[in-house]
Amino acid sequence: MISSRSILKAGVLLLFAPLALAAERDLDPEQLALTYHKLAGKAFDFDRHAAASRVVGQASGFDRPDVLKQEIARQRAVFDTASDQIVFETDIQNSISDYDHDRGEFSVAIFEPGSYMPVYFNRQEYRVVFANAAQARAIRMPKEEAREFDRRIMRDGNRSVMTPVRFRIVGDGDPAGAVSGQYVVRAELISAQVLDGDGSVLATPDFTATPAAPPVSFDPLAVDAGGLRVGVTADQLEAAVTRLYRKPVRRPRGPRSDSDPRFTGSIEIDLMECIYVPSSRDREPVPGDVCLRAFYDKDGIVRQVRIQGVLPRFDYEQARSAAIARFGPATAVSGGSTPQLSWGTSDPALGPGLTLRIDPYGNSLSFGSGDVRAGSLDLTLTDTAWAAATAAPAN
Amino acid sequence: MSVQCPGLRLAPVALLLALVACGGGAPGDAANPSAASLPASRGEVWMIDPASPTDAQVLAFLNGVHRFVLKDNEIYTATTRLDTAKVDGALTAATLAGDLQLRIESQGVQPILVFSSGPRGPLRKYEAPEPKP
Repeated sequence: MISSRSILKAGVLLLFAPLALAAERDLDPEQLALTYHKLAGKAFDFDRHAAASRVVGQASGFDRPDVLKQEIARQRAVFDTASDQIVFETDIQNSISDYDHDRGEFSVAIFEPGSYMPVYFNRQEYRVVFANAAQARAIRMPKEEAREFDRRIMRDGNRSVMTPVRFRIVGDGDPAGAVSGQYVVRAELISAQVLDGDGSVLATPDFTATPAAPPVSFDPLAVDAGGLRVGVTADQLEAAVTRLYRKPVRRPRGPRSDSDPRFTGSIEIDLMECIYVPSSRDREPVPGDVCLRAFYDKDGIVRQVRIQGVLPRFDYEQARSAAIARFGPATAVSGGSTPQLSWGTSDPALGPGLTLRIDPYGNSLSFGSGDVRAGSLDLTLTDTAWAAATAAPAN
Repeated sequence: MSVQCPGLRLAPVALLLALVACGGGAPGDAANPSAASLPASRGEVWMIDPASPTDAQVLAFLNGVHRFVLKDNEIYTATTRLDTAKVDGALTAATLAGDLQLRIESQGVQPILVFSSGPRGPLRKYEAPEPKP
């Protein structure tokens, strides 16, 4: 194993959201960023990053072209040697919760769901999420011991602790779907300790007892979206929709259709019925409404289904955690007013195997400023294996 | 071995096709063996009451049981058939993903959808409107 330590101290800022956090021992943010880009398969602009580097900025105008070339070559060398065997080490300043009397445990903030460790490299934020943090989160003990433990933590008048960690980068995205951002680094803890202000060990989580589960590949054929599956015949799906909802509209793909040319037709309960147009006499979507659209291929097999359910306004966290329990660790999550979780590999035109748009306050249910008093869950399931194996027909 | 369908006598090699053609509750087509056909007319369609607690509606939609056909003790959610089991005190029960259990209980004449994680909501019968001519 290769160990990364303290190559570049400048430029790294570690913060913990929502709690402040600072690094003492230093990992190399450049190595972390480049390892992430390599393992996640995300493009890295060597020219731009090298041009923005300090060494190029400090070079004279005469020497700059040569220094730039050298810097690009150096960064490429770091990238080329990056692997999931590189062990990063740092100390995280964070905090420990009050004792939970019902659960009989303290909780370490950095290991709670939704927590991440920001690392900055060339003004880009990389959010490091520990995929196996759940194994380190709780410090369990009976109430009698907890009283003394709590007194020891509070000796300095606060609940701050130091958490030295060793970890490897294993991929992209928060498997719990709770952390979003442009660069979410999925890491796996190898070891960790929780230290008090004097450096005495409060806890040493055991990562050997239940090693992190290997990533499970997502199979769109093995799940359903709101009960609907891909890989069934269009007739089968149409009959089910007719009985469960109402007779859908089935139409062949027209020559001017903007749908994917690999599809030959669609089955739909008008998606526009789940969107309110305030200026018209449109009916406002209400809980219980369902809109859906399925596309089928030349053999009449359904390859993509989208189903949108209108619900009363709901709690985002409730939907997120239910979705992770239902579909497994998310591959990616994007933020915004209507967060989106996704699973599985992605087709360039059709998107990931499964996406879920979580809209607790109905932002997507109206055009303009219409205030629809409902929320929405919107699932799109795509047969990405079929998509990868199917070329668009020649015109 | 042979399979009887109305007016047909089929060879063993046609077993799978025959099961599909015979109607409700059949496995899906060869493209997706996990799928199932919704019974064409048997059983009754139920939906979770839109006035149910929100947590029950979120769980129901994500697990595809916001609307389903209940035939005897079998549950069909569009093109999916759930693995059900008879359980004391429930009309039927099914195991969903993530160790979540689903029970359909009867409170008087009112069926209730009950999730093992706690959320529950009443069901109401649904009949799709006749297609417009």
